[in-house]
Amino acid sequence: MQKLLYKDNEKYLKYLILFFYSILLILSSFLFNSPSEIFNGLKVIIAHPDLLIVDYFEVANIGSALFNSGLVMIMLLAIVLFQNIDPNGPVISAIFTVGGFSMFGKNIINVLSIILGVYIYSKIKKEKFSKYTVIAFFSTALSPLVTHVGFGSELLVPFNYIFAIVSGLFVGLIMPPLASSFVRFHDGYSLYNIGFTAGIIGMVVASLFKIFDRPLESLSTVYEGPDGKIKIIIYIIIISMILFKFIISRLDFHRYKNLIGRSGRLVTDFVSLDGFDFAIFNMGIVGLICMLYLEIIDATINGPTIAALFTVIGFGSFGKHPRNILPVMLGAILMLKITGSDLTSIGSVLTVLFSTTLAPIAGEFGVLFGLLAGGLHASLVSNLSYLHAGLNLYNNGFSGGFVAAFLVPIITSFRKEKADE
Amino acid sequence: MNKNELIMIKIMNELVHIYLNHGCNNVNINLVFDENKGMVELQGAVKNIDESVLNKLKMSLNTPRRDDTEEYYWGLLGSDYSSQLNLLDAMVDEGQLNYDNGILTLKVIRRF
Repeated sequence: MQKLLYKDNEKYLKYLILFFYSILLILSSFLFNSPSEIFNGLKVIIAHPDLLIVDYFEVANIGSALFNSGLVMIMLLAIVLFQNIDPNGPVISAIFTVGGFSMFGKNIINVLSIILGVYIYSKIKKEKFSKYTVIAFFSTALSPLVTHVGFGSELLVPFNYIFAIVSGLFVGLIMPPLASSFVRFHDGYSLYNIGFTAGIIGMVVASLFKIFDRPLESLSTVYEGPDGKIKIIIYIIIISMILFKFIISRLDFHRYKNLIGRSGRLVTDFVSLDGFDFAIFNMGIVGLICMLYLEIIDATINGPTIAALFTVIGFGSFGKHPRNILPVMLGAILMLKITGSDLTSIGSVLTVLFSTTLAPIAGEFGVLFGLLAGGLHASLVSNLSYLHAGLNLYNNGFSGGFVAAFLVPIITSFRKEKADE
Repeated sequence: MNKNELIMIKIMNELVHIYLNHGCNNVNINLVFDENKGMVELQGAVKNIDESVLNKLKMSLNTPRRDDTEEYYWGLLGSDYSSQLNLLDAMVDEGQLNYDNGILTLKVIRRF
């Protein structure tokens, strides 16, 4: 195997680069707001109900949202570092996803009790927490539940805080067995597996709220510009990822075709299979594709959009590459166009970017099935959020699980018959 | 049946897939458990297996085990649709491959 120049220090290099992006977010926050505005904004972010869609750019300010995101990423990195985990694809995708969603729905407070719940689960099972760290990070999809109980319910102080912590611990305790069970539902063809699991839990919890006559109401608060400065920050992140490949290793681009030849189905860790240099390069490339799409349709860059971008970028180390994301994105775009939807609306933007949860279908079964998966996702996703009343931040993962579970058995069944003939 | 036994059965299923996908119709399996580990050894006649497949398999079986993926994704091992060698390699501690006179022997060990 070809020896790469950075191989001797790969683990530390990964940490260095991940900390670099977290600190970049924190430092860039001061380009938008003063320290006191950021501090006051953080207080608003922590106390504001987070049911889908609450954009921290709008309810607080851009600086606070960026600061919150960088802080959450550093906190997760510290958890990973403390356990001496080598941050490969699953960990990197989780950190970027949670970092992105820290601009709409997650904050330094509401993610903690869920992560603690998963930690307690690992202790009950007498296992190392490192086995559950990725689940713990993704489980924060349900952090709006914690904030809703703490700040959006009618409970009096201090019972609201106590029940908020208890609800987070409860989510953390039930998520590991459910996540590893539900992954079999779609057999790894939807990358946001915990989005599906959290959707099921959110559906049960929202039903309980409703039957006790406390129905949850989805919110919609989205920043609408201007977005010139924030675009520059995003481009710096994306372009630097591409440049890191040139800095840390050789110009052996013929090996990139190995990466884009993979289906991307869970578990395809590009970091361990193709090296961190190609993984980070690919993260930049998929980020650039999404960013160019947003430029073409002239969409506003705001908290939810960055969450979607960061999620795609993160999964650029764990299953997504240009060959498998483009067909599903195109399928979703075509379906939205045919049905007359506004491509620049926040719902459409998120649908197209998050449709890449189904990238493994295009990766394994080809472009046509990728188009079909993207189209089906676009039609299904808007019909599901009411089931969990916005409690699950990964609503597209919820939809993706259903689409994959519906399509894959049909595709493979006809493929097998064709092979048998 | 405990979880470690379930995981060993899924590892065995994944390895059986390899034989069946390469035209073998008679696989001998030896599955052994003790207090600290599980071991599965498979043997069968496999004709015309490509050298690159053997190399890929050998590399997969000797990739270091990883804790961070197994708890979340172990259910995907032995799936109906396609192979999960990438996952298998993260879940076993040791692996051996021998291909001699058309007989493929695979042996993997997973410590509990």
